[in-house]
Amino acid sequence: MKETLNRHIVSFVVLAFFGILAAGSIDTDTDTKKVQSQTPSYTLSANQLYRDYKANEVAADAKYKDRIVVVSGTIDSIGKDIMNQAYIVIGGEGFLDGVQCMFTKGEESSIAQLSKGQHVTVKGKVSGKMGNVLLNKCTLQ
Amino acid sequence: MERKRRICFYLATVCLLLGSVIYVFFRPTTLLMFHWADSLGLSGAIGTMRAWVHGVDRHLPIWIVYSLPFALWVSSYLFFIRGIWWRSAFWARHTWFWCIPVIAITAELCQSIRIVPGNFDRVDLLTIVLSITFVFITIDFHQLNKGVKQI
Repeated sequence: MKETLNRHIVSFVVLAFFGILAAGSIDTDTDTKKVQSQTPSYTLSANQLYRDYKANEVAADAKYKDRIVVVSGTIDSIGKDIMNQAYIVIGGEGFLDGVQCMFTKGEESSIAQLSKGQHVTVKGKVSGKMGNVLLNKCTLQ
Repeated sequence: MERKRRICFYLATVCLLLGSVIYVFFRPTTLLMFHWADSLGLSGAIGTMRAWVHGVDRHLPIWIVYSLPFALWVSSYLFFIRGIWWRSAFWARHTWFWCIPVIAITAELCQSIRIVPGNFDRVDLLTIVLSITFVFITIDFHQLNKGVKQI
């Protein structure tokens, strides 16, 4: 009887332990995972995406906004915005003429390994143009 | 302790560690466990470990990173419970054994009809089912029915 009680107690401890592990595996950023798992609507260079927006922002919004795209280009800058969100700007040759890819906290360790001038491919959701063309929920490919 | 019972605990530990390593090394740090680690001041150590394997995840199939670790934890739990209730015929062992698989599968299915938050993934479901099957075929489940009489 005592042995059975002990088994119940140990089983409960094991169950509680795995319950905590399962709770710990909950992703607080499901949006990025969702974007990552979706098939991109377009795969193009960062410069091409910016050129499309520069040529006709209304038409480009209709084509790209809220769509998942994969863009590639050379890193022009790496930083954090005023909301402390990590970003990289890829493509472009002057001021505000590239694609700004915003990353969630979960991607920061990957961004920390990058350097200016490096060629990268990024998947994200297009949010429109605010100086640069903005991509949110980005992941490095 | 019987050899097969010891194997149960070894396998439980291996599955637990392997699943945990995949979570810690390769999953995005937006998981709740990383927030807990941050609160405990472990984020620096975890960051260093993740830097060692930086880029490796890009060469791994996505199911290994996103589906396998939880399935390994399910296997680990089942091995632990089988080890704990080894040679016991007490009915409650079934309750302990099945509670995590039933919860895991139900939660996954409920995601498909959006009752439970999260994205339903068939691969997640398949790996959980395979993890249960793995436990059954690794050590003969009927061993549990041998031994002591009903208590």
